Amino acid sequence: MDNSSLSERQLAFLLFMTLMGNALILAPISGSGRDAWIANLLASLVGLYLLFAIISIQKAFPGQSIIKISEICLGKVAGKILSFIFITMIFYSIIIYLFDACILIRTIFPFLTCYLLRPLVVISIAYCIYKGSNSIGRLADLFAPVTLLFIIGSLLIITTAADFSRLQPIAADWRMLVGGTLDGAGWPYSVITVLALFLPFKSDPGGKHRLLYIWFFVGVIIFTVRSMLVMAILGPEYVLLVRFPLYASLRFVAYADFQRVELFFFVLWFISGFMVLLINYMAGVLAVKEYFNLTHFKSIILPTGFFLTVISLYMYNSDMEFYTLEGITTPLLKLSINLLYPTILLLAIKIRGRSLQSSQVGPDSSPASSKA
Amino acid sequence: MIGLMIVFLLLIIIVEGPGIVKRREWKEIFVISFFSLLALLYGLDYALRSYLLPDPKSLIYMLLPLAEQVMAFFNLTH
Repeated sequence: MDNSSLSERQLAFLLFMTLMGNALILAPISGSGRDAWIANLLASLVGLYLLFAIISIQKAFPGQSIIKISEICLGKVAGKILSFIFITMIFYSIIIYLFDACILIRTIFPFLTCYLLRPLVVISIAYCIYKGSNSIGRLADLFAPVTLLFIIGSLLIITTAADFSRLQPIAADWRMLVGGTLDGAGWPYSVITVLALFLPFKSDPGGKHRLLYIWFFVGVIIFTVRSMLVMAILGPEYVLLVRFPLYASLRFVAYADFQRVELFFFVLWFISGFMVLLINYMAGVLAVKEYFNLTHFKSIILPTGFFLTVISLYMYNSDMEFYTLEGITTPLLKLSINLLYPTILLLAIKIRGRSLQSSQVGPDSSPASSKA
Repeated sequence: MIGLMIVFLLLIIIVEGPGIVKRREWKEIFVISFFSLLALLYGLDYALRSYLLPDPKSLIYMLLPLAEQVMAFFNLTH
């Protein structure tokens, strides 16, 4: 395996970490009340479709970046416009993840300012990206089992405080259930589209992708169990009032003199928040590299980080405004862009079929073979 | 904010500057300058509290009424 390739296992772990991200602690779909777990299961179908779509697109053009594929399938102008919207979405996701990560860190260390925290987080991540995609794969290798262990631990611990009668009646309000499904499809499930930018790095592009589906289902099971438990502990009303529902659930747990159990899981919040930022930042940098046809991606890591840090401070410096705006608009925004982009490409590949194969670009443009 | 911008600019110049100028990678120089200039302009706008530049958040605000209607239709609360 060369320095820029990723194994199927590493890609599966990257998918798992992307899915977990900040959705683990923020508990999305809570707005759909006690049926959040059913909405979560239904929303996962959209995630499953997106995973199938990005894998199918990649299989049609092995080793090519999705940004290049869009130009091949839709033409230079339409491809560039669509890719620009997708890249803007990735950048906006990074801003959201960065804000969430800093808010979480500030709940533990309240005297750290955002002017210090955000550049520190961005520069740390930039350092990891400088090490290359293989290093990110190895980091995912290291962190995914630890994350899984802590998730299982936290879910087992909060089970003791659960009151499952709070989950009844089941599916009483179909509108809420459908709305929750759309909400969940937008976030967290549609965010896995970003993984399309890592698929060209797969060490055997023509090989199977079974592990990716397996780890996707692991993520779905975790979210479903988490939704049930958090709702059973906090109840549908209180879950909307707290900023970090899983963190709040853990605060309910106390074993005799053993207090502040939730602090043990800080490593989990930090790792998942850090990894999803890392994956999205890397994807953003790779997308910009492909968009501008650059030979290296390393030279744009720091300028992109600089831009994102400043824009995140410019856009969101108040968490009151952030949670009012972001909670309502983000799932809709993410669902529409992340669903449309691969769907349009997949349709173009299916419709244009053979005529596309003759117009493929040369192998030098593939990310795996570039100097990056 | 000004300190943050100086640190980032120095880092970019020290880490990336010599390499790309030596290799004469004009596309890279253009992209680096583009992102750095945008960050610098927005950073100065924010630090001086002049708010002359268009706020990217205004695009999100445009989506807010639609998102609120969708939420109201599905009885969702946030």
